[in-house]
Amino acid sequence: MKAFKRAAIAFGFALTSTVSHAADIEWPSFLWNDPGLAPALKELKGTYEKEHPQDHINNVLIPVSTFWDKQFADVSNGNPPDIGTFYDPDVRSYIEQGLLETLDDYLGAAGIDRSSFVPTASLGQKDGHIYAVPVVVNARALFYNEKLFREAGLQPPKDSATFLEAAKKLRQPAAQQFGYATASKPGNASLNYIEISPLIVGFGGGFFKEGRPSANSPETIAALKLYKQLFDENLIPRGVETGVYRDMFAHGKVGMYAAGSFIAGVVENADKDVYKDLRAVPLPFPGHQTVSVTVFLGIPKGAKNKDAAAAVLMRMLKDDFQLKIAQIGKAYPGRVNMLPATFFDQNPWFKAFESASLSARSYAPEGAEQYGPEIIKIVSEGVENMLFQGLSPEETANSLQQKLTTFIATKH
Amino acid sequence: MNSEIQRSGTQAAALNMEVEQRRRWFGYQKREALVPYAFLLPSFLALAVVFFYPMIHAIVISFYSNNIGSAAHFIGLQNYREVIASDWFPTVMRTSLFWTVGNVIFVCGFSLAIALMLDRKFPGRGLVRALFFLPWAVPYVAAGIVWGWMYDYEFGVLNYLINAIGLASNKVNFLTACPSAFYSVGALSIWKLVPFGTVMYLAGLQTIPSEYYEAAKIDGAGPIQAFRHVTLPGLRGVTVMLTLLIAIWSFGWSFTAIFLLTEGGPAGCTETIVVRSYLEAFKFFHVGTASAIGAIVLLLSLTFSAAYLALVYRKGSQR
Amino acid sequence: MTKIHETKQLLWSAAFYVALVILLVAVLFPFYWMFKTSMDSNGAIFAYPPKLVPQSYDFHAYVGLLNSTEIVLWLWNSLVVAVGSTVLALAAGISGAYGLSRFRYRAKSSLALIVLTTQMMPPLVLIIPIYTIYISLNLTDTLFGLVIGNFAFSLPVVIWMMKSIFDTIPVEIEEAARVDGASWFFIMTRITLPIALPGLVAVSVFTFINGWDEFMFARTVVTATDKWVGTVGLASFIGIYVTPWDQILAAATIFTLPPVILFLLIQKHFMAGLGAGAVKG
Repeated sequence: MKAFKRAAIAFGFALTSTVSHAADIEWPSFLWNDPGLAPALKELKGTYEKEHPQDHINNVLIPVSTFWDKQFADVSNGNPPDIGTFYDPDVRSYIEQGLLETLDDYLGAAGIDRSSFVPTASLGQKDGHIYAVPVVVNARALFYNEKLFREAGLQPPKDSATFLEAAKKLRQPAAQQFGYATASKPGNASLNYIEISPLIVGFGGGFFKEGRPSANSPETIAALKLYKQLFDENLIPRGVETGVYRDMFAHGKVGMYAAGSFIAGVVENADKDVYKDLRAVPLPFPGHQTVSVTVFLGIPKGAKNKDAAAAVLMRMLKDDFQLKIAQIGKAYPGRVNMLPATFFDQNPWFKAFESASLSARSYAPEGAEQYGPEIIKIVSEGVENMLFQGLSPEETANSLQQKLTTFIATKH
Repeated sequence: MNSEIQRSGTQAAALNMEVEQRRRWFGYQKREALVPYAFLLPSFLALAVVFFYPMIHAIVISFYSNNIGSAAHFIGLQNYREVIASDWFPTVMRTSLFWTVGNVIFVCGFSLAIALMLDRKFPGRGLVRALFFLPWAVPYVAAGIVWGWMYDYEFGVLNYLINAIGLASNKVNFLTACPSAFYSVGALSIWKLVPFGTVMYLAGLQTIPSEYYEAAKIDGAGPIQAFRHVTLPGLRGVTVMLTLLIAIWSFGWSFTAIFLLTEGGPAGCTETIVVRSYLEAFKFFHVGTASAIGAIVLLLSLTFSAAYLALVYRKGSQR
Repeated sequence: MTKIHETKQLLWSAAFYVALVILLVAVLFPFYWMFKTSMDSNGAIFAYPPKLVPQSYDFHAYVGLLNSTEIVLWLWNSLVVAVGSTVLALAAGISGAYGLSRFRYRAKSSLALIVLTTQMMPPLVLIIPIYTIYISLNLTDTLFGLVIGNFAFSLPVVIWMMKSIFDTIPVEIEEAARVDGASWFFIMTRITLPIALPGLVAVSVFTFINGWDEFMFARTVVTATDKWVGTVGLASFIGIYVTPWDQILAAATIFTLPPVILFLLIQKHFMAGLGAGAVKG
């Protein structure tokens, strides 16, 4: 009887796995109008639907300004999409809350080598299981406007001294021209945190290391000092939203900007002349480290078409498509060693991004990623106190250290 | 057989009673007593789906842990204890209180002043009235975008105008310092609410019989005295309702102005309790904590409203 | 004596007009700035001092919007939601307000307060449970669901506003009809409502704008792009990387126009309503 039951189950399993049903895969995301990634993902949709004619990917665009709240409302109401999109801290908190399916079996069946992922992919893993896979790694480098540098008689910055000197020389109040740009307006805490990370991590600092607060380490204080100086001397635009100062950079109103490779597409769309003068160097700060934002995809528990959704993710992770993501999206894909030498011959600037992507640290607070949103809130309050209320960098660092220590104690 | 007769007997009795009951049920008195409820039924059905059930649901959730889905478990009053004992609670409450009081005072003050001006007869009054009501008609999202741009430190037109007029020689940190950010966001909220108050006050002014003013004039009252003794008492009903609504909205409801301009910053300067409930629910994924905040707001608003209405109407209302 | 009186009068008038103009400029300036910025080219936005008048009238941002976005559809959806929710809110709200204004029964003041409690809980806390109901009733991603939601959001205030209008209408007017044996419903619709009608215009404006303006709820229950309302469409301009200011302010201008036009069209009735709606008493 027992054996019969087992056989029946096995038979049923075999049936479902060979005769796949038509699936309407729900994939709502803000990525569908990402200037770089959307074309790559639409190509994925096309490829997948051609290979699985009975399936359909429903690629609904959700505005990025409402996406995170909406995805959370959907997941917490038991109405999850089939494919969810996450950044570094979110993916951790979704995994810790047990809201994502494990992808281990699918990866195994698709023959995808688990050790081939980029280092920051580890955020999508817990206790040896993989719950989310990276689409792209957006590592930060320092972009600069070669024309503005030439006009000011400057060389690309190599260290924080030459960086500061360049920022000062590039600042021309009459022309509304700024040396650098980074977060300088209260509001969107998580975006602001991402924006200041290149500076903090570039100095070798960070607000968390190995699960412990490190807000008052000498490196972090040094980074905060530079940040405050840039703000106080108005070398960065003040009180201006990220979406606006990026546009300023794209229109040649900002000399230097630390960003991921996506900014190349932004500049190209905005102003072809500025794009011709766009150059990138590694972050010139003393820590010789960089930071990255990784876009993850995962399957929320309760997804209606999880097998089909997994098939889409596995298709994306196949070698040929990894190259396509780099080619179309101009971004480093989730798996390493997928790009042939010819690709680098055609895109010489990409080599710097490969080494950056492979060595970058995640912007999420290290070792406490699942509390990311709360830590980010505490840090941005501290930073806002420093910029707008006149707190010194040392006071800021010490008070942040104390607040973060108290905070993390409540979580253990 | 016997039992059958008995049964039919009891059946008849039951039937009799039912008829009797129905007669009483449909009796004039009873029917009359049900009429107000019939009028209220459609409203309460709709409110039940969109408000009452979700409110009860939120109150229930507030006694559960912050886990999502089936992992959430009953923890009694712990969410409430954590909220009240937290280091942010006193600050957030104070901000909410200032926000509420400021909105009530300025909205009612400006509304009354503008209503009095628009009540006077002058050429083009109809158009001027309509223009004053326009902020009401702008969608909040659109208003937030344009106000944010006007407040911008580097490129904002307000900083330029203030410099050009000579009000200040340095740039003003409209959204990038405390407490100026609080006032800047408050200005948007007031700008958006004043037309509503003006409409209410204008309607209220029409209900004051002109004979009262004539009587006051005969008694030798000047315009200021007439305002004190005729206009203000005549507007009492409107003022009670307006202050109550604005207070409740500002304390437990208003969010969009802050969300669009500062999201509670800089450094918590504009973080009201409503903003905090948003952060807890949607940013930190603490649905239980957010619900507890919601229940606390409800309790405070309800207590305040009941006390306020009792106080106002005990003193005798002449509407 | 009269001369002093006259100059005093003149000074008063002057002060009145000065105050009126200052207030009016303050109230209207954001509208002007919204339009002006929408006419700027994207790069020109970063000019300081800002140009106070548009530098060209080519409406490039508007042309771009109409060509590359579904803005017309979003506006149509907003219109459906605003009008639909207004009609429902008036129908239910008038009856509810009448029930709270007219009869004598014990639960009356408690019920009025219960209606008010709906305004006392932060809406963001309610959105997740409302969304749960919507999922189980299959109302997500439908304009009908948005109509129902916005109808209920406006309802409490409609009830309170209409109640205060009904309260100003003396009961005596109804009593004759009552003696003649007319039903309560007949009295409400045929006798009381016509008197309250002008005040109703203000209430409908309130509900229309509420429905037109609503954002947090719409962005949660609607996913499909063809069901987006204007507020969600507006929010979609805030991009992942950049925010195109000329386009977003052009969209804001377009989105502001319908309620403003509505307002200017009905302002005559609206203002007349303010005068006539209230029965002197």
